[in-house]
Amino acid sequence: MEYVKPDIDQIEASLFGPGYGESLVLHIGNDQWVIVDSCIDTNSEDIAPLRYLNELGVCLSNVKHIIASHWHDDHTRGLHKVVQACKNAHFWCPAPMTKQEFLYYAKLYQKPQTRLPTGGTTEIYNVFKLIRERSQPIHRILPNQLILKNNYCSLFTLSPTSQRFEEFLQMFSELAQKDDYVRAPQIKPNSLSVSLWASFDSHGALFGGDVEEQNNKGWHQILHEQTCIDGSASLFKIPHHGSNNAHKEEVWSNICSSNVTSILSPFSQGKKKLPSPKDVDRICKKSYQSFATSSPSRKTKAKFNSVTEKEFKAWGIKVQSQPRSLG
Amino acid sequence: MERLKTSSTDYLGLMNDTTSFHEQNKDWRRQPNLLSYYKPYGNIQYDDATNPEHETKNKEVNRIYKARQKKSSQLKVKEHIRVVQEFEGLVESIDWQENIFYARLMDLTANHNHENYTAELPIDDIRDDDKHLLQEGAIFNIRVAYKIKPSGSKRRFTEIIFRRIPKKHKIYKDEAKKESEELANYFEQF
Repeated sequence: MEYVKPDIDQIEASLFGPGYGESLVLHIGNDQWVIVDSCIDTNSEDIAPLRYLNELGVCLSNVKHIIASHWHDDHTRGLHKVVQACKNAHFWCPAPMTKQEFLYYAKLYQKPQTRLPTGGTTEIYNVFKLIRERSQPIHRILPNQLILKNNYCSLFTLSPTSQRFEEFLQMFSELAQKDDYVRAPQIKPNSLSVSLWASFDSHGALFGGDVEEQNNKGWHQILHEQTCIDGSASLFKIPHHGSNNAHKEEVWSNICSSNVTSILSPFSQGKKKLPSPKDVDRICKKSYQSFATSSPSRKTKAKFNSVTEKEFKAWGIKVQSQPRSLG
Repeated sequence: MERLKTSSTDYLGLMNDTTSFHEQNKDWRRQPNLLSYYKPYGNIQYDDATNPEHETKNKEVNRIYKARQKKSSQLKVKEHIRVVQEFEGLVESIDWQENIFYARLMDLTANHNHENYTAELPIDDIRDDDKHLLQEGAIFNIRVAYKIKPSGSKRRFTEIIFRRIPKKHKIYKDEAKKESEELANYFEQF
């Protein structure tokens, strides 16, 4: 694959997603970069955003901002190394994640009791510790906040909305009481994810993060609270891997232009396969053109030695391989 | 005349012919009394104990017996498990209606650091005393292995074992609270 570095006046959004995890790398002009979240290639252990910038020959001191949209491990794998490598970058995360309730929860589940990933708490807590050790400032994300502005583009936050903060912290206080989990328990739906708006010339780009919609919490609140969207989006990073519960009709009709290009990274773990064929159909109908980092419906039967195959067959255990390429 | 008191069988001949002995008594290791039946100490001696030649033969019988006893005890501990493949799994979701749970698997045998497989597993195959541990986020191990008996017979099996963890200790929680407070205070200034 040939990597071409964008011109200084070009805005570029590159999405990575190996089927588990997502990361977005933005070129904001003038050889300045923003990294949103992190994911890894499970085969080579390469960290997607760092590998991409390395392939382009970008000096990591040109990474100006690192944004953690939330702490789930499909968005944070390798984030500690990203922060470690990009020493000059400002680190941003949702404001409630800097509160003691969340930090206590993250600390409780920081040390893994298993070789499986801990649900993102290890990565995010290690990032916080690194920032503290370096005596760097932390940037707390509130809605409608300007992250950067240069000659080429402006980048704003849209969420998390402030109404969700107290509810979120209350949830973490309760989760911390139940301490008999091996792995950090997850909260559902994800009401804390960061979504971003980038405006450049007469265009805009909407990066939906993992924002879901439930009981008018999520996109409904964002649409009512936002004050920074000043045009229509010609690029839409589909939220939450294209799931139906992240869909909000008004987002398409009010924010996206008629010739919007949508991009997404699929999610294939357990029973969940996102986007579903119905989701794909819906997204394609709404978009002028749509792209995914890997095939959403790809299923590869795992291959093991004959003994394991025989046993799994006898037990009725069905195993599928995970896609490993970053897309 | 060189004859054993306890049996007319040629004792030395029997002791040396271990193969035929095994064939005749395939389950001999399960019968500890069978060994003691042939025990030459004390009760099994050649007729004339005062005869120097007989004394030498008695010593020889004892030596062979000890060697065989050592060999048989070594054989006894050889029942073992040979793991073919082992996975660590994380319960992703549970479908009680379909009686299936979904999990991510990491191949420990291949020394993977990340989960590379997704799996559907039947709930019925979980051990009864593990079923209460089945919940989203639970960790378990799947082991495909052979149980190899001293006789050499192999039995293939798969087992799913759910991880039990102790509750976090108060000291650990207090430390976590203190550290998180310090960090929160640091972040508060920005």
